[in-house]
Amino acid sequence: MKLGNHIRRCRFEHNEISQQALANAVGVTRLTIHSIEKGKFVPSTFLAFKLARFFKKNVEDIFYLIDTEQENSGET
Amino acid sequence: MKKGFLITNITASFFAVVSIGWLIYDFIAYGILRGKMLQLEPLTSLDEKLGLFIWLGVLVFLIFHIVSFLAIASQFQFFKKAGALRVIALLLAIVSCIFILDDIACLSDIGKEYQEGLEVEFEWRSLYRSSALHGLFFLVMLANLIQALYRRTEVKPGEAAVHDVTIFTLVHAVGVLCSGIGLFGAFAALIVQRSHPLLHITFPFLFILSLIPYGLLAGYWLIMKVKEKPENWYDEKQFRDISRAALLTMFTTIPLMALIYILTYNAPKNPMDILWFPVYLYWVIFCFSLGSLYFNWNN
Repeated sequence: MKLGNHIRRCRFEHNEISQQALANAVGVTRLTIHSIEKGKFVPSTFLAFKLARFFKKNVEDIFYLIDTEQENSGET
Repeated sequence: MKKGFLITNITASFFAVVSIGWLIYDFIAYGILRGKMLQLEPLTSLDEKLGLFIWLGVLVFLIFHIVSFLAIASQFQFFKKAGALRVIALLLAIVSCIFILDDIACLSDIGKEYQEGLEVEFEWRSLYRSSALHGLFFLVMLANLIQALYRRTEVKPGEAAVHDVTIFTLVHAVGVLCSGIGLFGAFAALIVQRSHPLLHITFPFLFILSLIPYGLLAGYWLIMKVKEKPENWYDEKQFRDISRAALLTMFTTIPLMALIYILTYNAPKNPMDILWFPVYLYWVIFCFSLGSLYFNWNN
């Protein structure tokens, strides 16, 4: 199971805010935002809520679960 | 932060000018002393005073290198980006700092061997090469300082990152470089100078000089972070990255130290008696810094 996200889309909807500006707003480094967007890093609940609050959305609107087993079986 | 930037960079500029002047003096003094020493002519009291000021110059150069590392660290933090001149100045500063060991060794050897009536041409050549490297560093560093002080007004407040990665990356990159040089020096000492009688005198100098850049930058980072709460020292991804790097360090250090222990168990008076601690420390810094950089950039 993986954690997917719509952060990239949210950033563009939010006046095309840069990764650095978003990182500054939620108190992390730009690399952290980059890694979350790429799905390489799973943020803590605290950070997920901070991101959701920044975009004025619910956490579920930004993050979602990807069932990798289903995804794989769907492909085959 | 701007105050710290100004203090370190202006102090470094002062020492840069003094060091360049002192290096010119050194070259003049070398010219006077070298001719007499190669001909084994007796030295006058004036010549001995010239020699004393050369030794004082080594101390001034060491102070300049220390101030330079602090100035470069403050520049990285202030501008939040690397810059070619800054990176070149940093690399030259590390190599030049280690070559202070060469200055000390050559000056000692020249003095001792001259008193014993031995040939010192090789040491003089080595001293000139080392001085040329210092000269190159002094000029590049001065250019870097002038550029940094000139461009300080270009940085606008609010543009910079709140959680900065520049110092994090810088400390670990310098850690990889310094410990890499140290490991190379330790293994070279182990292989080439197995029977070197002065290993216990020369190696501590290399050990200290090679760790000065890393120690200063890590100390600078720590001073910057002391003002913050410990939980804010790293963001959560950085914390995960250094945790992975620490695990990697532990898993690689234990087999290495076990191997050294086994190989030297029945070898009394082995160079490893002196080298085990520097090798251990260099290895830990190397693995931890390289691991931190790798995980930070690739995950």
